[in-house]
Amino acid sequence: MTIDFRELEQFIYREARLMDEHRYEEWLALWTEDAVYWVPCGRDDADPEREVSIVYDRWPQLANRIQRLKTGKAFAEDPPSRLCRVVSNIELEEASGGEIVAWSNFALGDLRKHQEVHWYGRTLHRLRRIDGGLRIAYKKVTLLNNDEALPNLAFLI
Amino acid sequence: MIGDSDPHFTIFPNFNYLPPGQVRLIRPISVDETHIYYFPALLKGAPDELNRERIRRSGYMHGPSGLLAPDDIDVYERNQEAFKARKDEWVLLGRGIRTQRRDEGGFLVGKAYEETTQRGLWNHYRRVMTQAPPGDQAS
Repeated sequence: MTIDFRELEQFIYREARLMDEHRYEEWLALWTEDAVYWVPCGRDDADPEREVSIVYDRWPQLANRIQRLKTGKAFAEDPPSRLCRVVSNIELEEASGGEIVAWSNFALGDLRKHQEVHWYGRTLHRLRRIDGGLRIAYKKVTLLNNDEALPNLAFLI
Repeated sequence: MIGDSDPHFTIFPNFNYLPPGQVRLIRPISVDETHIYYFPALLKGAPDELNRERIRRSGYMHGPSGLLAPDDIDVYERNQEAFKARKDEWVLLGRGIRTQRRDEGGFLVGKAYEETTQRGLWNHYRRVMTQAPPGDQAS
């Protein structure tokens, strides 16, 4: 499977913008129905079946997550965080078989109730081309501080 | 283990059991910082799938990105903000104080959203911190 690096970059930037702007439905539409979304807890290579994760979602859990954020009863995001993330260091690892594998880093500013929190992390995307467009089949986000006491992380990363 | 009869309970002062199978530990760090730990309580010898479900539930409901805990944490933070007030430094935990009753065992019982348990916790805290004699039934 081949991909133009520019197309990959644009896809990752667009996903970042949808997350920053809390465009939940559009973000959810980026995922395949068999998707796995994993944010490990404690260490980067924990076993998500046997150890606690910050996020370890299949599509139904992702959909619930979005549903909850849209209810207006999610106090942790009311008012919502103002988010601004910079995604960089994009590397295309492999574009063979059915999937495109890409790594990137992010720095994220999160401002809510006059408190600014900075988040850093590294993202692994496995993408598939479906009906001409790219979809996320797998995403793993390793947070720099995944073994620290964390404040709320109730928005999308 | 997993079921509707699994009750919430607190072991004084800082251990909460959150069914099904979750533990919350509250650890005060300083006057304006508290760390809250969430753990799944795994059962020795239980079917693998039951323990896996408890592990999944821990992050899915109670972690920093969970569907339950972040709203609780946000409310704790709002409380903390209010505690900075100088003018009126009292917190009223009066809900249910007129409708709570004693059951056959002599225990105070309130409805789920009343503050009987909070009053019980802070009354006991005051007792153990001041060494007041037993019989000081402030509530």
